[in-house]
Amino acid sequence: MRQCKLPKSPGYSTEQCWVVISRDRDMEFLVARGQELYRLSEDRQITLLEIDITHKYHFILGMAVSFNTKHIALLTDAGYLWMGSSDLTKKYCEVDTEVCSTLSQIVWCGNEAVVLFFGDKKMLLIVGKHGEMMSFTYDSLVHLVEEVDGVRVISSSQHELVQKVPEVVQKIFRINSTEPGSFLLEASKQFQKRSHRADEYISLVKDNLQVAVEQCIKAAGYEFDTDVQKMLIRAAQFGKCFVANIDADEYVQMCRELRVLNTVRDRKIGIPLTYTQLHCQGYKVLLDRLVASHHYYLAIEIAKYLKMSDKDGTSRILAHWAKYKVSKHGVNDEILSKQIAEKLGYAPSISFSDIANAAVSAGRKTLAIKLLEYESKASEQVQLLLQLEEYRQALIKALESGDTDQAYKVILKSRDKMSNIDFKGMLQEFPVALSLYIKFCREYNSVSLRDILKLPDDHNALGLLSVVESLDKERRLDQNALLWSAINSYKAARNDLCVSLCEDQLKLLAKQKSLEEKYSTPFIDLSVHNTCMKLLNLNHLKDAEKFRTEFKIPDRRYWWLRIQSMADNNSWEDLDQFSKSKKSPIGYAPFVDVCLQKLHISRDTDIIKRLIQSFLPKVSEEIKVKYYVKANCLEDAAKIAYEQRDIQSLLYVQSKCPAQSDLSEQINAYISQLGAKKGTPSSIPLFN
Amino acid sequence: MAHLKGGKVDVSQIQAIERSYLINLIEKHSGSKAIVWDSQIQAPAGLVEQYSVLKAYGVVKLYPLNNFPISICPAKHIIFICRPKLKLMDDIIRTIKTATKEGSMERHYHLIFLPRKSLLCINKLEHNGIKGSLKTIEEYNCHFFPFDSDLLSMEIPEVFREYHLENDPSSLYQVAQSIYFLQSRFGPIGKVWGKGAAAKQVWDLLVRLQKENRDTSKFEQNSCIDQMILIDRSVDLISTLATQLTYEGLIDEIFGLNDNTVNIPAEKLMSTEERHIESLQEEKKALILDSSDQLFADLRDKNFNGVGSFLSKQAKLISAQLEDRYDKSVQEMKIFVQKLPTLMANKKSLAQHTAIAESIKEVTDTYEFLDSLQVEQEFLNCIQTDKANPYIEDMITQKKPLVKVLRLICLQCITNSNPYIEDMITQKKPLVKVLRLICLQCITNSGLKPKLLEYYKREIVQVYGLEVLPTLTNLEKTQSGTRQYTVLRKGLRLTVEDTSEINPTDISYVHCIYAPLSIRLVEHLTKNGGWKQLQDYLGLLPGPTLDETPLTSNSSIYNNNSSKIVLVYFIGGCTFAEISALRFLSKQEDSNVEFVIATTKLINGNTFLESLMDV
Repeated sequence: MRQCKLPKSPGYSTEQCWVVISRDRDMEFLVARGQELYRLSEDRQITLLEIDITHKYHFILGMAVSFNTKHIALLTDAGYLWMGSSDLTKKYCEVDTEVCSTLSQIVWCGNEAVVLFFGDKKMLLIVGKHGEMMSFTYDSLVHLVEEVDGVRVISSSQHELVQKVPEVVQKIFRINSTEPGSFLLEASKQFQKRSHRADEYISLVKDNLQVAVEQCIKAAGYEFDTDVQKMLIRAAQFGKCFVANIDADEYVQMCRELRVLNTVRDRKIGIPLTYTQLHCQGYKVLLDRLVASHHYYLAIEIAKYLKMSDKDGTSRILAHWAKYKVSKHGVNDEILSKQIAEKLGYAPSISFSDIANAAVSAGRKTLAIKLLEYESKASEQVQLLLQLEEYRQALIKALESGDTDQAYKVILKSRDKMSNIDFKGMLQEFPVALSLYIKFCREYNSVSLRDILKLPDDHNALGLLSVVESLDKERRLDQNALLWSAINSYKAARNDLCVSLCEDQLKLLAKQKSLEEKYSTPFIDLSVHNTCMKLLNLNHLKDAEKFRTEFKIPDRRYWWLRIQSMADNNSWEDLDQFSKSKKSPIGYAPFVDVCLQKLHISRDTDIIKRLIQSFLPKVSEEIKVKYYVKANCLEDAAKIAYEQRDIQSLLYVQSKCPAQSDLSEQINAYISQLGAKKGTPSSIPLFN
Repeated sequence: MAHLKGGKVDVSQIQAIERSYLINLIEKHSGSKAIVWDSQIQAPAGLVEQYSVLKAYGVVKLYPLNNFPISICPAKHIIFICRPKLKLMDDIIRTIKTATKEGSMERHYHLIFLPRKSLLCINKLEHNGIKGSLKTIEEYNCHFFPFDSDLLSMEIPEVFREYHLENDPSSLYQVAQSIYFLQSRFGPIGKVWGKGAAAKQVWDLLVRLQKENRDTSKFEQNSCIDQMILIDRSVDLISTLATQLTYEGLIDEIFGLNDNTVNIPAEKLMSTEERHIESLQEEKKALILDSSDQLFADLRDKNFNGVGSFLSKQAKLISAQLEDRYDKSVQEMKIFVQKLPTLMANKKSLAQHTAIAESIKEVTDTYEFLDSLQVEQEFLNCIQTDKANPYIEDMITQKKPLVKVLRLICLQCITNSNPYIEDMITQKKPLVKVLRLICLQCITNSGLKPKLLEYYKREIVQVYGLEVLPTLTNLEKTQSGTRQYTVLRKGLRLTVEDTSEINPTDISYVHCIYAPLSIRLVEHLTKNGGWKQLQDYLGLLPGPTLDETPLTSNSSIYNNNSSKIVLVYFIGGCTFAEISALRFLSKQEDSNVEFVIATTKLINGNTFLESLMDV
């Protein structure tokens, strides 16, 4: 459908008629005003046209454009019919109709002739493109309907079709025709009479039998009389026998279509289609017309008979049937929905939501919901259920589908439409929906998050939310309050660990504040560990000690911190002292580690080297070899391994020293002394 | 991209389809175009189509969304391509708003969601008044990024987090759709197995999808894929946490292997002479690693201990070939010259891989790596898993990267079964008490004694600060259900000693002593045609077991003569070690199975845990 605005037509005369000429994409209008004829085109141009009409006239009574828009016919008040090309450049003829009467209708019959009807004389006039004329008189008024291949003449009691006799029919039935089809028909007739002349006719068309068969098949299609159809089909069938390898498809198809055409032409159905019309409009339109007049059963049978796909045929018709059923009141919802489902089954490409929609328009909501149960596409179900404000049902369907977009659609819509209590109640019923909504609230940083987390009594989540908020730098002022609320939530959740963690955090904040005041350096945002580290690094040993007991930092870790801070501060003497102060709870390996760490970046290389040597012997036995290797004291390492009688370790040390070195030889000697086979692979370390 | 071909399921076909989709979407708009990528998908999109090809369709430049200098962008059409995430919408909104404020030139904006539109995103654009500025909003139905002839990945890192942590099934729907897409290309799948809640749900959704689209799409008649195995990552978290010890796996663990590309410090790749010349202009060099490089194809699945000897063998081979040029007839010389470019390419690739292997060795030789590996292997061998591990304590004390600490703790949690609850059940303690403990375990969710776990947590918070509490909570949530590692270890032979790392006989070579549980399950299926013998052990793993034979009209599914094609789909990610193990299985003499591997993301222990952390 297209709309376009046209320029205002010129002149003031009232007597006018107009036609539309549409070619492909552009459209133009011919408007007659009195004697003048204008062309109005889409680009808003008005052109006055000159027509080559010899006989004088005052105005144009009627105009008609042919089906293919190539030809045009005009009738003047002088009774002359002018026919020519639609661009008015070519004139075919100009004939005197010899009728001076009111014109009721002027239409083209196909592209070859024009049919005019004059109301007061009840006369039908047919004028050919070349001026030939024919007239018929009727008893009553008629209406002309233009068709692709002719004109329907409809009167109050009759329905006639005016049509140019199709060429192939002419060929066969023309008197003295010598077309192969004509001979074949004659041969067939003779054959049925059991006459030998059949053979003579056949031999006349022997070479053209294929053409003959085709002609008969085609001609049968144009016939309305079933007897003539039969006669022609029989002839085709007869001729077929004489042609080897003939393709029977055309024949079969024609028989099928004729059967369909004859059925719908029946009085009870009343669709007098021609063969050409059937093909122009297609099978689908025929079915639509049948469906529109409620001939569902016939439509389905035809669809099956013509082997149409389910989508265009059966399913579509069934859907129409269902919609019709639904719109008619009287049958119980339960029964009807079952009936429809049974008939339609889970037939492919049936949209139950369409049917449900029809039920909605018929005001049958419960029926619609029942029908939606059978819809396979979740998006359709959800859409309609939302329209019906059946939020709970819609949510179920959306969740079943797994498509969370659908679920969100329902959730957001119902949030706006339902009361807050109902909405929350619904969410609580569906955990997945609830999680989705929680996620949504998180993303939008919405205030309702806290509100919604209370629903499943998820105190842990609430506690965590408060913790996260307390860490937000912009909410520093609320920090304590938020931590308190976290503690309360965790208490409700009986999450003792988190309660104490939050309490520690509160304590830490307070402590940090006092430390900041005391030393006027920032402590906020440091963890317990780092606070302690900072105190040590600043050499506030007493505070650090106090802090450590207050926050129950384990011995192991505190020692680590001390060692690390002394190394960081390059306080090597202190480190030495510290190592001797009491027995280290973490062994002496960490002492070696920090020294090795600083060995190459510190200026006190000598002191560090000395320290390493003093720490190494104190390292616990099981990792002693490893640490000697780490410190690159391979000879000692080998010796210790030998003392420990550990062949694996010896091999390990050997792998670290250059091949064919003295040490390597020495290790070999150790190994043989220990009496082991050489070359057993070590399992750990893995990469040698 | 010839390396994508060769499998019975032609991955290059998928690439071709996705290419044409992309070109169609871009071609529509006439004039100069700039593509603005969600940075998470820009790199993988390179696996689908190269920038040079896009240029031919009027694309003048590619930009990352988070850093898009719109004011200097000369293109008429700005095409945003991104995942349907709300955060990204903020970037788009901001970008368009700045541009409108400046108002310098007329531009057309287009938004393409990958793989599908999202209601929430579009709503957000609408609320911010931006929807009208977008001329088109479309979808780019790209389900998989093609990584290799047997490897497809969706490259969505959040799948596990979304489903198991946030209870959000969105990504499972995408997984189901991606399988549906594969079926529409390669025919229906005859037999389906699976384990885990996600596997079951994906299967149910797939059945639904098939029903919904029964008539609109016709599957190819021939089934190329005989079987499918769906593995929910939650079934086997151990394999993600254990350090991968294959060549490709270690590259990923150490340097990060993303979208077949690895960034290696440039100085490592240069010989001593080059170092002088180039004077270290760029710090890192991106290398593309895929099977188009034959040497890498040979190396990638090897245990790293076998890499050195293999490389030196290759080096000898190449130098022998190069030496061979002396004393030759003219004819022979001609052949030699023809081969020369390949030889030189091989030589270059050899040098490259030697350099990479050396840089890996630098790391694997460190005490830190070895100690951590030792602890890991102790856990896997069930040695002292229920005490606080001194190594982990040290790591916490020294404030090593949190991911590494958590990786080990998680491993300890999983490998340790919980004797408490078992004891309570055997002693017939009141049911309520047992249930309460089980619930407690669902909250603390670990096999560790609650006290030990608390100790760990307290230590972690003291050291790393309260900021890590959300992450800890997340991790607890994901490890639900009791896991009987000790039983599984024996029953499924998860740890195997004395297997040669150079000529392996068992999949355990990929982690040196540990065979990935996920791949053990696959191995059992393909060897015995079912999980019947494993019933007892399957019951110990979380989630339902799936065993379906969908009705198909195709009868030629069980074809014993030719090899079977098995699609293994990891829902929640898979590691390179697992992929290597699958390739190893199909290469065995008695195997008639070819694997196609699909995953939601290629992961390692660190990237996996990072996806679960809240920063």
